[in-house]
Amino acid sequence: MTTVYACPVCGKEAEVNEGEKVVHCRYCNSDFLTMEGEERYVMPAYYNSSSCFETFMLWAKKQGGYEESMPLELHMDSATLHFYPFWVISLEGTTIFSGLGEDAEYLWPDSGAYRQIKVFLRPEQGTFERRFEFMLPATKDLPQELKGYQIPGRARKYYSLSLVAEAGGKLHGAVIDRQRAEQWAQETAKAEFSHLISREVDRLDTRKDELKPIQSYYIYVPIWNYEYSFKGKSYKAFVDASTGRVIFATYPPDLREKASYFGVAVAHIVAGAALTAGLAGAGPLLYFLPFPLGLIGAGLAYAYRSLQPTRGGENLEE
Amino acid sequence: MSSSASSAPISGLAVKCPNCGAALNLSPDTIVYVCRYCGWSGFVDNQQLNVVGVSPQSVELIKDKVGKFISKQAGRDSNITEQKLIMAPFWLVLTHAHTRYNGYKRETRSRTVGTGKNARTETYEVYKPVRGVIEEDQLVSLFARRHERMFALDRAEWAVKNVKPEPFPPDLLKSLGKQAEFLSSSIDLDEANHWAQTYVSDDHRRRVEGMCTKVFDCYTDATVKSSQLTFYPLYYARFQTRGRTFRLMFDAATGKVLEAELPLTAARRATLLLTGYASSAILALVSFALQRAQAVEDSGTTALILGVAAAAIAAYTTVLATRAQRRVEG
Repeated sequence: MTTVYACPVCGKEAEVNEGEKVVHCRYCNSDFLTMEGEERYVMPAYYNSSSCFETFMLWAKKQGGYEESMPLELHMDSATLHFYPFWVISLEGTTIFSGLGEDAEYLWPDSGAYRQIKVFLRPEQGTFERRFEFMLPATKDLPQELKGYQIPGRARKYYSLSLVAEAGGKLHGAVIDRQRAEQWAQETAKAEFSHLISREVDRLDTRKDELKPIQSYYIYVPIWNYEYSFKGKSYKAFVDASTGRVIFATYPPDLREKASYFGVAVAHIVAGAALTAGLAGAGPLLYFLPFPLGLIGAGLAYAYRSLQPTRGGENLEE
Repeated sequence: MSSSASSAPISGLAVKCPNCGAALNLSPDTIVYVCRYCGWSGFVDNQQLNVVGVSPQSVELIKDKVGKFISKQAGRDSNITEQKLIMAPFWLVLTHAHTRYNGYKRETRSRTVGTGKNARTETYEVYKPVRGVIEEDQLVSLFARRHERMFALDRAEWAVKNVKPEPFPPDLLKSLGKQAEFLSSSIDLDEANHWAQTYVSDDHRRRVEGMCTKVFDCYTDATVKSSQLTFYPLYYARFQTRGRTFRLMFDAATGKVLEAELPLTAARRATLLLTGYASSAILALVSFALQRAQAVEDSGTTALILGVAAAAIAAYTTVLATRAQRRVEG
């Protein structure tokens, strides 16, 4: 039985026999990994293409500056389901360090405080214990927009090809194996420790790190990639096929709406400025100044609204 | 390298996970169990049920409340497209933390120098040593799912801290199993304790940073007094109003909204905009009246300050009125 993988370097498809762990891509001459034999998981694609796109449309409709005629004139250029692989790695660690840290001497008392401070260095030692959890894309062809992806709270399953095939998804190969992923996690954790230590000591003399892996697993995450065009311009949307969440999307701006907001903004600012100028020459009436300034404030808010970009996504945490 | 696939010797209850088929080795007191392979949780038949958590109000009641909330806040023409009761696992970890800190706070003081006509105000800086110890118990609430997030999770974590979890009676658990999606915990006790310690250390550091201009030292020693895995009921819904979709998370234990996205009605938009204009007008009148009554020394500066305030209020209300949606937090 063969499985089709997308090469993580060039994106071309390669048929892979069962048990093959390293695949040579005959198009771009690079090698990639299937991670067969590893403990692999997959988030099932609970939502199909049309329901994900509908979710996206409903979301876009809610956004500011959405073009109302979009559903009518939209042209779908491509809709593909990608199963991108990630490493999820947890570590625990301790760092013990010693060095010279800052302290201060205070001089010249001034009711409860001091006018002068003399900072000096003294020997200092400490320990930090931390847990770390990292998520690292195992592939290189993950779109930039998905870099901050987080796994939603939903049951994952053991990997099986049928879960990918039934959803019509494209399985991506990996370029980062477990060892490299764990090494990366260790380095990142060490860098985090360095940051913690640098807050405590100015000169580091000794340092001993101990890092222990807790768990690491490999998981495929299904994401619908849409490319669509509207009035000659192309846009894209990424929707999580396991939850229907819009991760990131661009959509056409409603130019009429933007223009009208901008017009309202200009009207407020011009009126505010004119009124200010008028009041300036009207003696005591000048003290009505807060009103025109309020108009200018509102005008700036309208301008901000009209310039808002038509891109974004649903935040999982908020 | 360790991985969770390494199977432990069978010493408890061997169960086959109905979701992924993995053979699980569960301890005898497990009821709503956690498949450590796929995250599925479920019942072990004929076992003593001993799950600790907070029970939800009846699903019908919550459904009714959610429906009423939506039709009141978003309009009668809204319809719910997805809704579910989730029993979400949280680790409640009671920690005891001891933090020793040392730093200083810089302040600006002013004084008057000279006398009579030559008097003027001068500012200078002083340093206050900030040293001490924070010693306290702190309850930490952690979502017990590895590297996962969901809508309104921060609010939910907060809500869990304010309740007293109790063992679920078997009957309730059985009926809940049918009505709710039980999320399992993918974080074990040991890991939860460590996370809580990390959380408390970071939290104390933030507090110390808030007290100081410069922190020289801040060391936290956190120990765990007790930990409890608690299942908390959450009710999630997605609904549509005039072709737009919104999300909502209800606390199914109290029947109150945790967080919701809502459409902005025309009336609300108009009210917000009017508030902006009205406050500018009121501030203008105040400024004018103050000058007339000669109540302040420098009417010009006062008018300017009130003007800046008016601009800020008007800008804020306008931003609120032109948003795509509003957000409510319970």
